Amino acid sequence: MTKRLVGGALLAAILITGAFFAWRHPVTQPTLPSETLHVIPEQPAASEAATPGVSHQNAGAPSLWVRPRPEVAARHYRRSGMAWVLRQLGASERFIDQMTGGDLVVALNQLKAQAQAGDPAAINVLGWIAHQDCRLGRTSEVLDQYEAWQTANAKALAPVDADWFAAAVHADVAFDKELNLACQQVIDVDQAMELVEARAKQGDAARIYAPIGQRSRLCRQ
Amino acid sequence: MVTGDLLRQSADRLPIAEGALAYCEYYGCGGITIDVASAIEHARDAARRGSVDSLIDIALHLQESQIDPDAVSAWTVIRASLQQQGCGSNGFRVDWLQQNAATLASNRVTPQVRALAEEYWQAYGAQIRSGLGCSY
Repeated sequence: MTKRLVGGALLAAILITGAFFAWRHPVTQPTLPSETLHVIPEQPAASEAATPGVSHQNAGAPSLWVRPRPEVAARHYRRSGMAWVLRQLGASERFIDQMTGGDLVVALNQLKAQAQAGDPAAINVLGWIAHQDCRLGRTSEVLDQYEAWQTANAKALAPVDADWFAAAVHADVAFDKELNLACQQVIDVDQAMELVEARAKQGDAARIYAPIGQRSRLCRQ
Repeated sequence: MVTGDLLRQSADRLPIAEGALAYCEYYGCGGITIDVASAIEHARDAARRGSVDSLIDIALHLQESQIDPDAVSAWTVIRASLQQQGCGSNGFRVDWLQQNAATLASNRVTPQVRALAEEYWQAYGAQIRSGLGCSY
């Protein structure tokens, strides 16, 4: 019971703090990124150096003063974007790694199997991904428009920055397209939301976002 | 349960909640009584765990006797660097890229600020990146 309450409080806190920071820092929210999915290794900072005169750093730790390669920045972006919600829903770091730098189809199939076997954390995570990414994810057409718009924006930058920016956006968009495909292959959104709702009826913290799924389904009916 | 209680409950696990708690302690929201000293402490702790915004924003209203301006500048550098790395940002935006590059190259980044930023990065960088979920 206490765990449920704490879980509920954490989810509510995520929603509250998310709304709070969205209010303080309103931005357009793109989503996630990759064309061919393979793990992008963190480039050692020394070989990342694009700026001369970089100061000291720990082995393997990124420098404060140097921009990483665009695909590395894109991976950081999608990993931190997923981690901050999925961790609270019970996702492991390994799963988040798989979702942001591994084989998405494999990761989602494993998640679905765990959810269907009744694993509460897997149900929560599956529900979130099904709703947030698979149902609300941007279509390829919208993603192409977004990339074209961002590329046009990048013309305001110096050529080297524009190239970096375009490559980062491209990696971001490519991942979203890959995720869309994986959703189509693996996820039945209604089925996922049924699992969430069943858990909600048992008092699981998932009840906090279960109504989102119900509303979305009603809207489409 | 009011917002303040939820923020207190989740502050240990969520740096962003601790940052929001700091805001509420400074401005008085969510049923929380204003307590500037506690706000600074929570904002500083949230920054060390990757949620830097509240410290930088609250510091705008503080006097030098309350918080070291060089420390605030150092955290501003760290935030810009994190955004440049894609950590904890809201995506890729041209204006952010420009702002972050300008922050890192600014003449406000004195040798003292630079040294402090490096010191914080050495001490908290791994924790920050892990907290933000961008290390693996």
